[in-house]
Amino acid sequence: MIVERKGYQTSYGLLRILACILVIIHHFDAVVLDASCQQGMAVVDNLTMVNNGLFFMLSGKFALEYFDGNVSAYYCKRFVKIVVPYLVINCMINMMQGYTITEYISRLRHGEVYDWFVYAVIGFYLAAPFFYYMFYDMKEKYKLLFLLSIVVYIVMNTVNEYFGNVFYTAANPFFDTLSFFLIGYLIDNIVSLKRYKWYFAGAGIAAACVSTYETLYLPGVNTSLYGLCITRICMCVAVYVLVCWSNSRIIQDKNIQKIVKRLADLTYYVYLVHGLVQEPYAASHSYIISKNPYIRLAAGSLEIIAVSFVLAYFYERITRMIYKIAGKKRIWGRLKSN
Amino acid sequence: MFHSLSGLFIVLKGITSLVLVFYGYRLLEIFSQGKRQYEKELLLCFFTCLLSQGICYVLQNGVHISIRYCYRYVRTVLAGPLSDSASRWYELLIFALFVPFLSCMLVHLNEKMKRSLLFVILGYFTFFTIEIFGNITIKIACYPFLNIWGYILAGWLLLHIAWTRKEKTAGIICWILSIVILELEYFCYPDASQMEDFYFIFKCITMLGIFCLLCGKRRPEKEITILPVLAGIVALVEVFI
Repeated sequence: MIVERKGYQTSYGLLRILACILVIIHHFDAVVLDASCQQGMAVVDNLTMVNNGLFFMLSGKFALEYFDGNVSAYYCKRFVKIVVPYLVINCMINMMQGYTITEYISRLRHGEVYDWFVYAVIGFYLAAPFFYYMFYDMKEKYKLLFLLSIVVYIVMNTVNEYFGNVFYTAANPFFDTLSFFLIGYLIDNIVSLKRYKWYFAGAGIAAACVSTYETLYLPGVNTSLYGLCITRICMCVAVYVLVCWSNSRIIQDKNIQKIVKRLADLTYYVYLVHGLVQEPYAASHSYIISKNPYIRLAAGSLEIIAVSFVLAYFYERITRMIYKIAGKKRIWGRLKSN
Repeated sequence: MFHSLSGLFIVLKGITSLVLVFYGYRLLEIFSQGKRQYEKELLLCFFTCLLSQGICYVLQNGVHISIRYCYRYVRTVLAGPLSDSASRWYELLIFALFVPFLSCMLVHLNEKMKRSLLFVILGYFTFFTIEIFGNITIKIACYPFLNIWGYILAGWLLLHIAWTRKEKTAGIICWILSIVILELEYFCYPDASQMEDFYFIFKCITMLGIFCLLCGKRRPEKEITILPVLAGIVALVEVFI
């Protein structure tokens, strides 16, 4: 079931762009970090860490809403669109660091280039066609129950982390990164939750306050630094809900919709290429335009974002062209029709 | 002496997995028959966990009667299993909690999708086996059908797919081959045997083959429940060994 809203696709595109920008800031803050701003940067680092959660939630939402019944075509499409561009860029980054292709393959085999987000996405997409059938005819109250079960488990995990217990998580497959994918889908498809938009926003702000407090004053027991704590989930959900459920007039503008759509289509490629841009940029020290580290962070991030989008545009074009040549237009045509 | 003991221990662990597949299957079937029966089974799983954890806790800490002792026990129950066998019952409890949702999925799968799911589950176990032997480390995170979930779902699918005679024969040959490989592997490399590894595809096929032979014509949902008794025995054996 797809919930119709004004500015439907555009708001999701906007969220993808926002998540992408947060990724770049999150990765760049360690570069500008110095002794004068350690605590402040730790807060920035903590708040921008919602980026991956947002990407996963969006992937979950779109992957679980539609499936045409052909598993092999589904896997093939994801492999071509996600894994191949990732491997090419990853190989380039490794070569930039001085490794040969053979060394890169060896590193890949032994898990030395462990890009956890790609493995998380692959793990989810392997199961997504079957999850589609799980939610296909599920009543709303069951969806709500499912969402609650995931949240309760995460709360229990957070409490256990806080008290120093080792919580038993291995047996629950709907835990770990997978919970973000499922929460993204469930939040969006439980219609009755729409009226609690501002409660979600409030919970997110409260969670941000708690995790900031923990970062600043309780460095030893900072549960918010664990990937799967309830504060992180609340922050992600709040941003998701505020952006995706907004009916802002700006989103209704057709020109803005076009721009957002074009930029949003590039976000995965930006996610991939920003490492290529960031490393030489950080090494060149050209971001040191001010003594204030926050200005350096803002200016540097902006530059990386701009260059990454340009590179991503060309990378996407080249990828598309190669697929067209390689498959005599078959592969890309199939992708489009899917 | 040590080898025979550890061999016995591995066999016992295998039995636990088999029992879990059996009960997981039973839970899925019972849920489709009625909710009240399912709720009873859920409670049974919960008490099994408490019992298994309790036995381990008592054997590790002795018996005292105090509030602190009870509080610690509750904390250990919430934190996680104290022994390997207790962790299996925890897995079953969590599986039981998600049975209604899984049931929604399985009900809607057509024959083709059932085969695809079985292929994905077994493919993933095969991938893990290749990783073990090929010294490869590519751990795909957040894949949900691992652990006992993969075993139970594969078991359910094996019994719910309409196999042709040719496929059945091929399955039996695969099963026999898996047993032979397992035995050879254990006898040739007793110290580095992968038999204990849950994700070992040959172990998976062996267990599933036994499960199919035991449940082929029977209805496991009608069997008398011996879950708590088994939990107690396995916990005791594990602690003493």
